[in-house]
Amino acid sequence: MERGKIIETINLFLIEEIEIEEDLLNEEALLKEDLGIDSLDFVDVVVIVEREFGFKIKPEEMTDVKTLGAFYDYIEKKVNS
Amino acid sequence: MTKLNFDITRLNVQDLLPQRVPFIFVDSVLALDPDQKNCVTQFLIKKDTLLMDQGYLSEGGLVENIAQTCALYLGIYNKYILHKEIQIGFIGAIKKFAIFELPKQGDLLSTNIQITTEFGDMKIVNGTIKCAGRDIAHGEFKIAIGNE
Repeated sequence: MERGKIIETINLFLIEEIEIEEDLLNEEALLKEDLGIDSLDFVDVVVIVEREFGFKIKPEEMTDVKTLGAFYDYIEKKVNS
Repeated sequence: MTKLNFDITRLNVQDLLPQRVPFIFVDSVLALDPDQKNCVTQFLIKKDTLLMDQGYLSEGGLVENIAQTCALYLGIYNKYILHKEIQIGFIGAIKKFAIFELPKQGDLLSTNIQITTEFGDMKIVNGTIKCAGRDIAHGEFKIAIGNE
């Protein structure tokens, strides 16, 4: 799957479901501090990733994923492995 | 396949819930499947049931009924499967909650919860309340498990 498609899917979900402003969505944005994604929100992200990309995020795999770009990287790696 | 080797319907729910009488909205557990992550409870709406409004159980009572069914599932799972201390859960959010009918005093509720997603200490649970075979309410609950 192309990275652009991954970014489009994730961003659409963050804008429509988590109600994050589109202007804030850049690869350097910190998931918690800049985007305000807390654990309550993130469980919804887990659901959308499973539905759209066909795998389940494991908590231990997210330890080093701090930015939105790192999150795109993580998904890209998982779906293309 | 995970099995519980006792009659789950005989459990005293008050031993497993953090809430205390009279704030109890579940009478007994009818079924629990640890592998499918679901649980069914029963509750008779009594004369002295709290959160009643003009003879009908209010929205708050229905929410509490589903939340306590979740708490029972988690309490039984922790105590009898994982052999851990019972953890307290908190409702983080409720989505898509719909009520089709408010039950009244004397009605017997059957409540089914299904854990659909787990991530760390967060769970998404779908809950449905039936009365006389009819779906009267359902919703999606996000439950956060406390560490104390």
